[in-house]
Amino acid sequence: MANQYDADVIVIGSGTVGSNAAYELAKQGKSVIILEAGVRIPRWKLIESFRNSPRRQDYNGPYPDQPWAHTSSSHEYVENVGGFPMVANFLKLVGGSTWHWGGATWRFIPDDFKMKSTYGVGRDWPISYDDLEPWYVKAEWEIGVAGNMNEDQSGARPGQTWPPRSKDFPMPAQKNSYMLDTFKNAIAPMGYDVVAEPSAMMSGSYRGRPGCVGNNNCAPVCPIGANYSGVFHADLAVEAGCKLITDATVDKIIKGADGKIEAVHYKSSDGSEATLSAKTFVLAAHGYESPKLLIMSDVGNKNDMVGRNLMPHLGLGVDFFSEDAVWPGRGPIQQGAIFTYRDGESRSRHSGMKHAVNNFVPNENITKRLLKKGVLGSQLDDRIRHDSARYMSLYTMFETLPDPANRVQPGDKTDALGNPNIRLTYNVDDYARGAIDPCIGDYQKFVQAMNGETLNMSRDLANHDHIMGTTIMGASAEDSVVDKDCRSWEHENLFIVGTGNLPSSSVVNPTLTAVALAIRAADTIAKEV
Amino acid sequence: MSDIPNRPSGTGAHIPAGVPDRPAAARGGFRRRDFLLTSAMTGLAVSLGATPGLAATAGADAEGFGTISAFVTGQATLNPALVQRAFTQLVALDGGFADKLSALQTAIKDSGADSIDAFLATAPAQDLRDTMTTITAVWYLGYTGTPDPSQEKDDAKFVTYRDALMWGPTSDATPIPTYSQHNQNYWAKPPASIAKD
Repeated sequence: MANQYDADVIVIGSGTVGSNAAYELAKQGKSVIILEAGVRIPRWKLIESFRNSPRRQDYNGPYPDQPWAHTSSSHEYVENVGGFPMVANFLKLVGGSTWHWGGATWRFIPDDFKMKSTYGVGRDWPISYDDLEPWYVKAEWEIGVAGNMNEDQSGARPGQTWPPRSKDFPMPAQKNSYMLDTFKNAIAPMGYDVVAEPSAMMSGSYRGRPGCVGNNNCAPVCPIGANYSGVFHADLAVEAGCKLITDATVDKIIKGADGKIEAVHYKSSDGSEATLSAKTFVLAAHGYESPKLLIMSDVGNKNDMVGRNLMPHLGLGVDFFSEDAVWPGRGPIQQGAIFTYRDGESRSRHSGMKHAVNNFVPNENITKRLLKKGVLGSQLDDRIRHDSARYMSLYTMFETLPDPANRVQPGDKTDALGNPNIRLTYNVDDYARGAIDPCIGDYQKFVQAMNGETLNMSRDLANHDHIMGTTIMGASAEDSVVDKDCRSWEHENLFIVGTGNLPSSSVVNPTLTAVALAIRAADTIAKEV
Repeated sequence: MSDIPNRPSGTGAHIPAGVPDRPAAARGGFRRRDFLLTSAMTGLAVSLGATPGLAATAGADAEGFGTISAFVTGQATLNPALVQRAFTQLVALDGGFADKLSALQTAIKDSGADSIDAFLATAPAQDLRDTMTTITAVWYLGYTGTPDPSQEKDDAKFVTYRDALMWGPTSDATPIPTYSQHNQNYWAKPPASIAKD
């Protein structure tokens, strides 16, 4: 007698990655259940929470943080035991952490896939850029990415389109802000080029989303949904027939007798629990939570590689007053990038890097600064206008290398459901530190180009909220968690997807690459179940 | 505070009912006390300089706080609901705030200054400047206390978002984040004021 299953496929996690995988499976006629630890919150409630909170610069601020579904807002939930404190920002709700992001949807470049063979550092991927290219196209058209077809994003191949593209972006790039164009013209004589950041902030209406009109609040929450978030694909997946169960925290992945995964067990905040079976399982629960769940379940970890090779993007920032008014804050909160050291020989010695230009309305920070300086009276309004018009800030992301000693593990504390917290161990190496001097060198030129007055140019590294390597993909079952198809080496019907798959971090935001891998994995699964 | 120039026009439809930073009158919930306070402050704004004695009628209570707040920030009126909220929160934050407010009231009255700039020109003592900075921060930033997103909790409490005075000086050039004021790609051009900026 044939086995009975609750679904063809169970997807754990309704973020951008899980929802895209679920939607692809549903489109190919599979029955799918999505399990989400958080709940669904309508956009208007998030906007209202943002507007009614004094913590406007807390990107987690408008979002729920529950004892049974903790986010990084609970500091005890994310525990650092290494030498470098990783500040994590992640959410738990339908749609996941892309509710609060800058919409940066870059592709990796071919050399990112072969760091070891090209530069002698890090690891090679088990697939090439060419293998992933058609899936990048699919991901860009699913999400909706606005970008410039003909641009060199490597910083090393002027005049070429790099990485190579088989198809144009679904939408043209947004126009540069006046500030970005002014900056671009100022640094061009120094040999710097500013390229458009491929962005999920739409440049026109796309799949029911409106075009961006510059509300300048991409994070913590876009008020109109011009900026993509995973909730769009969670909704598409449900419309396509997927069953979405919220308030369902998976606490165990259950192995069957034949080495396959048999079922998953989840708990809800009301005390209820359930076990669901499927032919195939997709774990897409976030770069920290996915490895944690695997370790908790003693699944896929015989080689002790789960949770290791944690790679963040480290970085620096600079802010300064330009001599002339440039007016930041007009348009989305970020546009443009400069790739001085993304690719090339320096990468064998130190991290590649991406500089990006912030474009947020600076009034609150400017006002706080002026009040601290004792400015009062009618002078205050004049100074707010003067300084806000001239404020510029850039931030830089450094790539990091995979090191098994850097890891995420279950901690000793427990949440309301009895599940462990997240314990991080991370230490910065000389490869990343080696990028500090060249980065500061660029900053000094940027400030000089604008005849600027520096406000902050710190050498203290901070991390960005990008997590790679924790469910690492590889060519060998000895030193990786999943194979080239995102399939667990140990359990043939378990696929693990997310930014944790990435064997190199590159210098760009990893979301698009994770979505491309997830759609590709879903396509593989659809052929099997 | 409907006379604040930075209020974007035509955005009312986007605001969920009951958002607490809207003036009471705009919500339709008009209260007698609001009316009295608004009237009193409107009158004050006109006559504070001409009749300095009026400042003496203000106590170290919410009403007095509203009067001083209007003087310190150079505003004709401030939303009475927000005045009450801010005062309650400031007193809770600093048990000595009422005394500091009294001291500032007395100093302003004694100076005979008819505007904040005139008062600042009298070189007030640092403790008075500190009190003015506290008051100015509330109205410009729209909260009491100090938000610290690096911590789980802090002492910051909400007063207003859209009516925070920090938006006013740039209202022709940049949006109050989340409130649409412009069309797509408007940002490709500088604001009309750029030659003077």
